Amino acid sequence: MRCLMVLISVLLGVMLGGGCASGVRASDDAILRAVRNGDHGIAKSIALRERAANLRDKRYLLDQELVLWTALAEGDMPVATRAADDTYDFLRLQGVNAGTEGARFFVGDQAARTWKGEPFEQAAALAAIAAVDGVKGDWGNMRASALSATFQLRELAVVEAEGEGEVRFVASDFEIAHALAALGARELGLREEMEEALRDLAAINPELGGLAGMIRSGAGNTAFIVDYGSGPERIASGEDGSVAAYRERTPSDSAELVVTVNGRAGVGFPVVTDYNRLAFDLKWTSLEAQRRAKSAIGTGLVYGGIGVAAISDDSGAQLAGLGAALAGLALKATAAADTRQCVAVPQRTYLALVDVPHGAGFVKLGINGHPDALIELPMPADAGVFTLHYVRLPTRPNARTSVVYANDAWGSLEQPTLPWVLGGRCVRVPTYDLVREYRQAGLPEWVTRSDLLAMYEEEGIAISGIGAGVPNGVHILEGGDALYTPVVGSAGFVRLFCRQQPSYVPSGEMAIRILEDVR
Amino acid sequence: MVPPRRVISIALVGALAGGLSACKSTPGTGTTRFSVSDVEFSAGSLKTELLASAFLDGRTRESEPFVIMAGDAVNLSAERLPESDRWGVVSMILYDPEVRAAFDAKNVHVHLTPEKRKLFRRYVLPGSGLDPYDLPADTHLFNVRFRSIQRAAAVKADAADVRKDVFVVEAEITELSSGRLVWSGETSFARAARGLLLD
Repeated sequence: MRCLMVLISVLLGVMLGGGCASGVRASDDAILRAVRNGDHGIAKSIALRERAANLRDKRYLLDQELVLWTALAEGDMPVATRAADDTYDFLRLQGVNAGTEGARFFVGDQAARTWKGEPFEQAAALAAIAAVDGVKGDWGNMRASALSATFQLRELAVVEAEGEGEVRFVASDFEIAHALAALGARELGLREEMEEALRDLAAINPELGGLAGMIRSGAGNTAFIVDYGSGPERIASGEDGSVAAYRERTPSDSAELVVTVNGRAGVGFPVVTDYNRLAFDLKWTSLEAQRRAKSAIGTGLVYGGIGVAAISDDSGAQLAGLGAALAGLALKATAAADTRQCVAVPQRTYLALVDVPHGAGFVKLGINGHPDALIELPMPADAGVFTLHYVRLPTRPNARTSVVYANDAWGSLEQPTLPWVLGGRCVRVPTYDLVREYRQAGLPEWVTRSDLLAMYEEEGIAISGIGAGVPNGVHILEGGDALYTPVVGSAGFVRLFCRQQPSYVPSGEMAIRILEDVR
Repeated sequence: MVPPRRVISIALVGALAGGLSACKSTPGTGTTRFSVSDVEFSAGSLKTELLASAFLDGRTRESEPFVIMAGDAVNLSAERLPESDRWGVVSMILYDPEVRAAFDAKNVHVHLTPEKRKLFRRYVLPGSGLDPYDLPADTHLFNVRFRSIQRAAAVKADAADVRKDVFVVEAEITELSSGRLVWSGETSFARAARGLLLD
């Protein structure tokens, strides 16, 4: 009898302990808030700091996806690219959780080796990877990532097996993947493939026929992938929380994105993908039946066990009834759905194609009926090639159009200026050419590029691409310790370089020596 | 008849053992992704074709100089290929010791692309003699293309749990003055993996 009680206790401990292992971290809430406010640098910094670096960590993939989404929104392409590489590698692994089905029944979803996320989250991550590649002008990889995104959903939509394991697929309805695949195919000269992707796009949603036509005709020299809102929240509902359900964070609507170039009349673009819809339509339910069964069996064991214990006169049977009731409670306690998710997935995605005239100008992006979702992007004189930008719209206005800090994505300001840490307006990585420009702004002749690098090091500032490579911190203009450059046309670029930032007070010996000579 | 508590004990022990053993098992993962060994295989195969080609045949150190610019490594496959892997194939062909020796003996030189030259120049000290703009004009262009075909099937699961990708890697050299293709090579290989992609 003692042995039985010990076993019951151990089993309860394992199940209940395991049941508590899942859930959402406090840092996820902080990331969600930062993304909503357009503070993508802060969101990226938290995501980098909190991410699981070990492939065997269950949160590994979700954490890479958080870095991917936040770095992409910030426009920090070195960080976004690394996260895209890691995310893609893992998403392309097959059978990651093979053989854990039994354990997942008894212990819950936390018995999975790694949580790969819902199909829509995986597809969304692949769309984000495609965006990273598109922003870099790597059309081949953009197309490949977009094709992979449709493949992920096709797998879910298998309708029947034929012959010796041959599978017939139904088409994926992940609109943005078809649109990006078509755009990539067009840029690579794969006309036939582009036509096929555009036919699929228009078939999924006839309202996207106009966009398909623009892609086909080559209209516009600039594309914008514009994301808005927060994707749905994953919650446990139903008996014992055994059903994984979704609740809207940002409500769905069909409001158009309006794009205005240099103040001309705006052009409207429809919502391409609504992630609320995807989550509700395609949520992965392979474990849901198990969870529901566990809940039902658990309920049966509890009532049955209590009944036996209550009506039986035999002490052994009473004990057995009690054991069954306890086992039932344990099953019910671990029937709850896992609520881990990637909180940085947007609610909706737009794709806009516009002509930005030669010469510097600005592009204004806003959503009808959402006055806070507004951003104005300064655009440089273009090099005559088709470019793609990714913009994560804030939920508060961010309308600034002039660049007030020289940076590596934009170049110089009209007048030469000193580094920001020396009281100037330049946040570029020091190069030999730049040192010459600094001298025109008053930098003493004796200061070399190495001195400037030493100065940054003394100030505790990590420079992207130099030394450790990719700094984790917040940008120095926002009080952090990282010097990196968001790409032109990103929300991070506007937030950092198009508004007045507080001045910097250096503390290192080199900066103070230089400043003494400047004065 | 087996006593009820023994039945429950056996069930509990079985549940516990089953749960724990499943937790301990190692992942049986696979992928059809293009890998480092694929870079080496493709480059090795294409290098052999290039060395045996008519493009180099008959040339000597005294022949008119050829200046090959490494142009592009385009991904036309359905697989996302890191830039490093794509350029790995290019560099492992053009900078292979055997190829370099053959190029030296046949007066063939290799240049970086203009974009890469810009990056190179950014950190090269002016006046160091290493300025990549101080180079003779390019005469030929070297391009690599990657293609693939995907197949998926279901063996055990409801969803596809077997995937096969066939990769084709093509390389070519074009004469810039005429646009004429002066050499092309091709290699292919297949990769297969089992297991659900979604889970």
